[in-house]
Amino acid sequence: MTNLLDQSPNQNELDDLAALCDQIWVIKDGCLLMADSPQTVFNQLDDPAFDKPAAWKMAKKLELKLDGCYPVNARELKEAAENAN
Amino acid sequence: MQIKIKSLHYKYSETNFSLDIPDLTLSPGLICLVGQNGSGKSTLLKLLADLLPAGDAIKADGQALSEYLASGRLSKIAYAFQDPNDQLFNSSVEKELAWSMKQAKLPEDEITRRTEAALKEFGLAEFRDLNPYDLSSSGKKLLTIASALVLDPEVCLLDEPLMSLDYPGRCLVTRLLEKRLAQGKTVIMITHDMDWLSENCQEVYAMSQGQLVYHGPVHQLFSDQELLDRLGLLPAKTWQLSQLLGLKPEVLSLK
Repeated sequence: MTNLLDQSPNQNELDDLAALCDQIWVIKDGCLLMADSPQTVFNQLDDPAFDKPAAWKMAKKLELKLDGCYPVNARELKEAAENAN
Repeated sequence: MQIKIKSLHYKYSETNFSLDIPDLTLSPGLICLVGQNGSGKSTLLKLLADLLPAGDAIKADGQALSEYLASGRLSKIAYAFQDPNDQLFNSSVEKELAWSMKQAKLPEDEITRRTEAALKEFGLAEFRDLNPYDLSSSGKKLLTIASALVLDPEVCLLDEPLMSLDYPGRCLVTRLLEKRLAQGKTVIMITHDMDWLSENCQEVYAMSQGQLVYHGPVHQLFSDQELLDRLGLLPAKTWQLSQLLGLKPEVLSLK
């Protein structure tokens, strides 16, 4: 599943996207900024026009990483927390 | 302004739905209403705006609401509709913003000053000559809110103000609501956004089948699974993730 992200939808939708999509395309002002996996998009996209999934924000706050990146969905977050313990 | 509700009953003639609120006092501050579609949230909001008749059941500062609003209504209570298409009707964004001020008979220079300020504050300046129907859904929503706030009313009634907004729009509306609340004004809003609620609201009112079934702290609502099931609500994502990690959700704010 590919989703077009044209400035962030609400928090729940972002978390659903991060859990369900294979690819997310990020579009701003008519330009395709990124087209990649949710993991890559939410870890690399640094633009105040776009929010991040709650799982990513929680992982950042708790300093939980998985393969060097912050998790972007609940499954990854749980795995990162288990690895940290 | 203090709003008191006593024995409020409202029934639509064309459906079986009825709203019943026995006793409720609303003091200045942020008041959030949650509940499934059809639970009566918008009906209550319209009654509070005097858009539906409430008789003497709603009092504002001790006076029946319709009498209280008989003069200077627009500077006392403003209402932003859930669907911008129900509200916007002027031929340009600028005229839409100025309309309520013209009805309130504000001096022309004051109307111009406030219109310019709202255009700038809501990021709508470049669209000032555009027909509101040609705005994006986020732009339309911002215009409905801007039009409601432009007269600086004591009470703002907002039906799902966060719906359709992009992330910058949500941040903007949140900041503006915080500013109004800091001035001692009242904001009564409907939302389905539990994440926003958990970050911005202390107390919440929950409705089901035309009745208020919960009033209390947001975190207490999220802790009551039976009530959440009855209301058809899911707790905030942060709350769900905290539970998954075995953390205390109420101490983990992502704001």
